[in-house]
Amino acid sequence: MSPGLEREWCRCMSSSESGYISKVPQFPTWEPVSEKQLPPPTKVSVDLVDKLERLALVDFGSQEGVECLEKAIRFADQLHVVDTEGVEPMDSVLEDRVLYLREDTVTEGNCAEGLLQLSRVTEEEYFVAPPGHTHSHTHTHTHTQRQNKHSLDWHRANCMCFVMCNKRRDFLRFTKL
Amino acid sequence: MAASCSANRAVLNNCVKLQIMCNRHHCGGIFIRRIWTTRSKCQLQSKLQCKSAPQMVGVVALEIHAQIQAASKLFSSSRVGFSAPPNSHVSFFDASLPGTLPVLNRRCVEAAVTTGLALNCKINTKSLFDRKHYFYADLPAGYQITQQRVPIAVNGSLNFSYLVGRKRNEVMTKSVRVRQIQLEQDSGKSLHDDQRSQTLIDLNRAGVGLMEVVMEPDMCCGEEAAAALRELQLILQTLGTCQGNMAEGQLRVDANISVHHPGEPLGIRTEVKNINSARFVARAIDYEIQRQIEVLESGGTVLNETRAFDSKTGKTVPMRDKEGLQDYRFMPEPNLPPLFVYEGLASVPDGVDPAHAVLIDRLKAQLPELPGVKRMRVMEEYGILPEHSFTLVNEDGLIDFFERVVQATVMEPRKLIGWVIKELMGNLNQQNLKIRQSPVSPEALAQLLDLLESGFISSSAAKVVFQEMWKAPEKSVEQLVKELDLGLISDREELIKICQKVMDAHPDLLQVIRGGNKKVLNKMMGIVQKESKGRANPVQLINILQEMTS
Repeated sequence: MSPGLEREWCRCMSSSESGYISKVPQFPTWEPVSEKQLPPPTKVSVDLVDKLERLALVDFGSQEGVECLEKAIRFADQLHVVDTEGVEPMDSVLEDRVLYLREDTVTEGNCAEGLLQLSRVTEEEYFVAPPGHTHSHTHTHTHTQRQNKHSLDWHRANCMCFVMCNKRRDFLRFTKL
Repeated sequence: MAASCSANRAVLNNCVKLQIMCNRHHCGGIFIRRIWTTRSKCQLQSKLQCKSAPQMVGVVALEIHAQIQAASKLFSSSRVGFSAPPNSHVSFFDASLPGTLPVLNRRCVEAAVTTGLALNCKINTKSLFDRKHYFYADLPAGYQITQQRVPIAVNGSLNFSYLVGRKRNEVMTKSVRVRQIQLEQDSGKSLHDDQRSQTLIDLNRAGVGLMEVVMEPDMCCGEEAAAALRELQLILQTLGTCQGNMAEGQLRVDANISVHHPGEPLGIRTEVKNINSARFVARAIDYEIQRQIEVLESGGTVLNETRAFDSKTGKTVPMRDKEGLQDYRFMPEPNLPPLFVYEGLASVPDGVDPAHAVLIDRLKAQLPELPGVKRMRVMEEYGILPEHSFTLVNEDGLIDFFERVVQATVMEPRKLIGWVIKELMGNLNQQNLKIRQSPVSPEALAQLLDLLESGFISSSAAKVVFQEMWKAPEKSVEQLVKELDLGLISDREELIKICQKVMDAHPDLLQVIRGGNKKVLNKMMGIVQKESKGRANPVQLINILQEMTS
């Protein structure tokens, strides 16, 4: 973290507005990194796109999509500039914290009605997904894959939400502890 | 052995007749079972003539998913329950709604540590959680939280014994290494509606705590794997960490199977997924070993694939492609810091409430007597046979019943074991009852055995009374004996009267006995007992008969 960044961070961490202390930085704090400092840009091959699509159930679909992915990688390339010499890798900012263990008591659930309302298609008290992963070996590979891709649109949306929320939640949790 | 041979027979291909030959090598506790086809046997013999070629053997490893017996799920406080209305035991976290976070259930951690200790594992005082990604409609987050890098328990062993031999009275003891036990989430359930081309999703099971017990490839056939599974099941049930009901999916087995020539590197393995009974585990494994041997011997190669066992045909079939190496995109779970458990009170750091911490020595002190130890104990303590110790310990609740009878009767344990294993279990099995549902209490059985032991009733009369007790459990043993008029006849005069009657009816036998053939005396005794409905006091009877025939 540059000294400027750190200052900004501390300022945000200690700012107080009407009793509620937000520890989330109020505006972007990055500084652009010069292209010259970065490694050569990554080119994404068609095969790799295909593999990523299968793994992540994401449809890039077009040259535009590939370019978007390459830009994302380029953005991440900036991490190469950070000097991590002598710094132990860490899994999580919470790793020196003690994991809270709860009692084995039932306090949640019993909200099928509410949950089912969130789903586009339901049947009786079930969520409905298009078929996929029927354990039949008569399905061809691509057929099954395509079905899954289709069936799990809602997963995809969910996952994307998740990634974004996770970032925010980690942060909130960290600050709460 | 007979059971597994017939299991094998069931899976035979019609056109290929198999001969199954079983060789056991007792050296080093290793058990090698060989399976030949008639065809491969011929090939073997022709090879033997030029150079001895060792037979191929199976190599088996099990991965067992055990649902943790707990009130609530692994990371959420919703209920764990089988056959509840769909989606009724689902919290926002279980449905992966944005904004929800995992909160670990202490009970699940304790169950995993307890199980690890029972399986002689090293408990990792620091373990980590990881995300394993795959896309199933019943896994709403798109990943499962598991322990890939540092699981909670490692490097253990499962020791088990099982009965072999024609009479199933030889005990074979084996040890299988346990690589690790990891905590992870269960998935939901998918119901495939092929007609309407849709999948119904029930998330009640999503997020239930699992212990995955990963074993090393130390087994060689279906029977052995099934025995290991049964022992693990029994251990988990004894510990109370898993109910172990396979029909309800509380215990699910994946088997990794390969074949090779002993001494050579392991062959390419297949994985047979989700086998839901011990019997099917044995059948699936034996079928798969046989199939792989046939593939290799006909010049083919075994594919590294996932297969499913079809219990109707007794065969395994390919399930889905593994797409080369499946990429689960493992990553550290960012929402869970490392999990710490402590050796003892002294190692709990400041700021951690010891009452809320998981302490290894505390759990170790609470370990119950495990099945293997219990079998040894009952054999020594009661002087009973190994095969009886298996029945006593393996049947849920039988050992308690037995011990209560032992305490309440004067009869020796060695003598009464037959009553518990044959009469009691026979009746229970016939009526499909559990031991706890037995209409005859241990105390009532003890009373009956006391009467038998004291010579008040004969053993055949006791069996009649036992059946009556079953029908009328409200009546006392004495009452039944009186009502049925089954009390032993010990009155000398009465016994002489019966003997005289029998001798009069069988002058030919009397002749033979008087002629010096004393063996016929036993036949005479049998007829007297029949006449007296088994009520004649046998000791007195033999004296009287000897006197009267001499």
